[in-house]
Amino acid sequence: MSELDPRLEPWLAALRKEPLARPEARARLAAALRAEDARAARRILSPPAALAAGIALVALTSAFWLALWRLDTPERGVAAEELTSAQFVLHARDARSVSVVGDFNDWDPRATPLTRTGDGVWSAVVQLRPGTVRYAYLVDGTEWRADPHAVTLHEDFGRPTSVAYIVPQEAP
Amino acid sequence: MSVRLIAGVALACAFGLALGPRLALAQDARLNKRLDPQTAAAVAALVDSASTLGLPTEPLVQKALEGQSKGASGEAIVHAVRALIRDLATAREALGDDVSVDALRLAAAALDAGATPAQLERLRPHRTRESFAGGLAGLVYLMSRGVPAEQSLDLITAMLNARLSAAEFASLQRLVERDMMAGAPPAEAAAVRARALIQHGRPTGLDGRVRP
Repeated sequence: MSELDPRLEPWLAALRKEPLARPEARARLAAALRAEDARAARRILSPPAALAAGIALVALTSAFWLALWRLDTPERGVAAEELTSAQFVLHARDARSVSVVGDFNDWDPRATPLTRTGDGVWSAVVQLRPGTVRYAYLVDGTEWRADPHAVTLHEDFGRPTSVAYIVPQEAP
Repeated sequence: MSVRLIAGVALACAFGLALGPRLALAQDARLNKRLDPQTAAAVAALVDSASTLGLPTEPLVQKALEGQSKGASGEAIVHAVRALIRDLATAREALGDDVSVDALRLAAAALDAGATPAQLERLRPHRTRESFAGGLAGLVYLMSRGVPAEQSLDLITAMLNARLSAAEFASLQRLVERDMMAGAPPAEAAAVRARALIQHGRPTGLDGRVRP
């Protein structure tokens, strides 16, 4: 590198120096920079965006826990191919209505009505997952009956409950 | 990233993680829909406790719904759910942590039918068998038909030792029912049919189905 003409040195030193500014001008510049910074922050985290992000995160974490919960309860989320047909039959000659109520239909008396298929014979076919089923028949909306062909458990609520074990279908 | 954004994300995560399980369970609105608020809250608390203990919770919800459907009082529902938690916990202690929900439910039914925890514990070595739940179903069936618990347990243990399938346990029930309708005493019918199943397997027709 060639050496500079010594006469130019003072000029160069003057150029390297930080420009002197008046304190008011410096303060205005700093204030302008802070304002710009705040505007940028508001653009990143505007109230609606923050709310949406919060809701999305809560939904995602809840979905995660819900998925774990469903995995922990194999009664739920059963694939259609795992279901097997079960026929419920009750002989009730004088009945006007019969339904089967159990833990496969959340013990809802209206969910699974039986149809009269013969002389006092009522039946319904229900798709169930293999495993334990607890149920009872409800005759005329008031009278609870156990399945005479299944195991009857102790009467927890003063009404009979039957239990059956649905065997998994064997591979052909 | 600004401090406000980091704080917002952390707050949302903490909120979701803290309330996640409750929200997931709250998704199951069946309790709130079918039970009065006081009973629903009591049952939800019991379900929460059972979940903390690692017990299955769906049978508890179903027990509460059964009570509501059968017109039971809130007090009776809470009592029944609490009793079921106790039976499920006892069954798990007797059989081990690695049994299926079905096996636990059937073991609880066996306790309900009069089996003791010590008797259930005798089945523990078989808990990994595929047909274990079927065996427990057979035990509950025999006991409900009046076969003494010790004899029922001996028969079921012998069948599990012989590696009979769940379908063979189910056929035991069908065959004993048929014998009983013909007038045979349950204990005698169970002994004869269990021995035959162990020696020959279940009777089958040409199509491989159980003979009617």
